[in-house]
Amino acid sequence: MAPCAEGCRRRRANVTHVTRFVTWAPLGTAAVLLGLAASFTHPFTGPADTVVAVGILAVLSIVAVQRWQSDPPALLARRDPIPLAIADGGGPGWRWLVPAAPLVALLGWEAFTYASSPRSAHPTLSVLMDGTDRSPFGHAAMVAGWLVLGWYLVTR
Amino acid sequence: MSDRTVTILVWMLIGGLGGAVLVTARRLRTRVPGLGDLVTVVAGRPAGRAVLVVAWMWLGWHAFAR
Repeated sequence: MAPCAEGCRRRRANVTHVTRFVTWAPLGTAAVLLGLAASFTHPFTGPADTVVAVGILAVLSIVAVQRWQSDPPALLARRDPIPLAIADGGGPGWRWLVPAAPLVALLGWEAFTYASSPRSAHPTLSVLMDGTDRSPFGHAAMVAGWLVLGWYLVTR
Repeated sequence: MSDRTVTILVWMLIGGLGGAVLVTARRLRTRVPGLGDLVTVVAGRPAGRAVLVVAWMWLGWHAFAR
């Protein structure tokens, strides 16, 4: 495992309850507000494109902060690398099949259902999500969840 | 059992598998890597991180804009 890259620091050592709240409050508020804004939009429209673009820019700005700020705010910093015992040589390589299995199964089943027809008999994941996505609150929650996933990915 | 029911059951099975991996990795922290560990290893390489971010961007575009 490579050592911490630029913009990476030990988060746990620097995160207090106050910094956690100060960071989470605006992040959470922004995610909820963008989710609510998204609940007024419909796919294939300019406003929907704008909401997604704002979300993408927000997450990419976290990457920019990590790259150009030597001491980024705790919850915007990348997390510690995983313990060496897990990353390298701590056991047989097949252990990585454990976390990979559900992801491979998900991608494989999504591909199979996508290639099958009719769609009503072989619903893809996005078709199953459409029910939730139709209600404004469901749509807002899904957009907020997507933003949190983006934050999660760029802070790893 | 209809095709739709089987398809949805498999989706639920995959969800259960993901949940089981999360719980197992948390319990056997130093022996079994979890989903987060896999993401961290992939994101530790610049190309892997780029792939993850592009996949996330596509997901948002696909789900909410198109």
